[in-house]
Amino acid sequence: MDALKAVRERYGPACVNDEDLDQIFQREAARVTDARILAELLAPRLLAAMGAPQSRETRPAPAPPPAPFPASSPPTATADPPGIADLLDGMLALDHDARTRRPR
Amino acid sequence: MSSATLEKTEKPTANGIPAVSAAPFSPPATAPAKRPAAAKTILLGFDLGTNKSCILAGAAGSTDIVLSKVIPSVVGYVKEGIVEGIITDNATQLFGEDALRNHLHVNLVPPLANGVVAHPEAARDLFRHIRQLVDPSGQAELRAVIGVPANADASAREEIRHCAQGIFDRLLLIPEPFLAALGFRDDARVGQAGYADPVINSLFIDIGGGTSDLCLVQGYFPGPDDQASIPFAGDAIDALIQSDLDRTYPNNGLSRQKVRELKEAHSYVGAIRKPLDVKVVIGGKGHSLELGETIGNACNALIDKIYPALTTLIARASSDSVLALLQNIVVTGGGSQIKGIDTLLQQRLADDGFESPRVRVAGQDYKRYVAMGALKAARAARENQWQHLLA
Repeated sequence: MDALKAVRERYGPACVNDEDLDQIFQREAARVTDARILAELLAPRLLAAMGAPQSRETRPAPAPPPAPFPASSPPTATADPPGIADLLDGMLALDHDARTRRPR
Repeated sequence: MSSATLEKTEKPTANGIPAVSAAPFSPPATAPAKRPAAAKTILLGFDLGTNKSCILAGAAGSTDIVLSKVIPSVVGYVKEGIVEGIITDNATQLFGEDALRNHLHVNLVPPLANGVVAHPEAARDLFRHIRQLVDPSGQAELRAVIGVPANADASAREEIRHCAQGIFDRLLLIPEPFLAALGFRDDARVGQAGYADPVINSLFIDIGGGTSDLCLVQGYFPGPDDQASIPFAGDAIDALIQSDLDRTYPNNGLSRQKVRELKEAHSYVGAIRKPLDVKVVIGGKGHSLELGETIGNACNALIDKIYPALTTLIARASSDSVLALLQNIVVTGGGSQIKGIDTLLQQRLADDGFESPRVRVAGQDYKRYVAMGALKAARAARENQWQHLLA
């Protein structure tokens, strides 16, 4: 935005058309979206082709799932981000608590 | 739960729309056929939106996406007396874009209102249609993770389960903004230095058609106090615009769909922009309407609704995490396309003294993040986690 402001101050407010800018932004956003989707699809294949270790989400789950983190005490920063399955355990625990608290 | 698709046994009413029963919805009594034991499993990430739904599907054990589709959340029941051949294959039900395209020949029924099921039979018909898209053979086991509004109550969740019974084989219901964070997360960069994992510390604002959902995501599954669902979103903005149009341009005759299109093309927040001249066709004639104040006031009303919830959730973050959180506020959903929404929210936070806030929009992929997060959850869910269904 600062660069745009500088250009307009130097060459006049009409030098850059808002509609043209919108079109440029939309085109570039679409390119970024396409690239992101492609990366999303290719990344696992590349990792597999390179023989990289499986990610946390694709490793077979260990037998006992870890206890879900209570909402009142979020964990401090750890080296490993929480796995999705662990987060789902937390969700199911909250659901279970809510069901047992509800009057029948 | 394991069941095949049930045949629809309810008879349509005179206008073709299934009647909304006064009695609580109950699944059909006939026992469904079991799927073959060796049937493949398909995972479905399903963003069930009030106005638009997004589905992403792929085979279990694979990272391939076999279906990616955004569908308007609407069922069209063909009107009686329509000449044969007008509707392709003489179908009695149409879905999504097909329904909207043939709106003159169908009764349009939106299954959802404000993010929850409002018409159960239409919801089941929509689920059947999606099942057919994902698994034309009808033989696969279909496991669906469905996004629900933040703080959707037990009855709303149960209603979705009822509607899905007999259509999807396994189900998980997960709040939409959390799924948006999962979908937004760049899995290839998780754990890398300098990457702000949205699942570790972020605040997602998912502005849809029926609800605006906010969610604090900080490395644990968000509880009820970490989420807020506000029944003011795209549809409410449409209603405000239409009300103001009716006041300033009486007898304009513009449909709600047309108003929505105008909003999607010209929406903005912040200082009122005038003139904002928009050409519309009314009664076959072109007219130029000045809509700057109308659209600006309607969209700014959204900010006034969600800003208090935003600051409330920020206040819940610990002092150790709040500075990083303020750098990781993401707006997604259709409302993320409102011009200037990121700048305005960021400025209001800064003006209120919050330290170096950074609000960004999710980008052009906003329609898919909830579904992407749902599919990731489906791929990662353990076997026993899928058992969380109706008793």
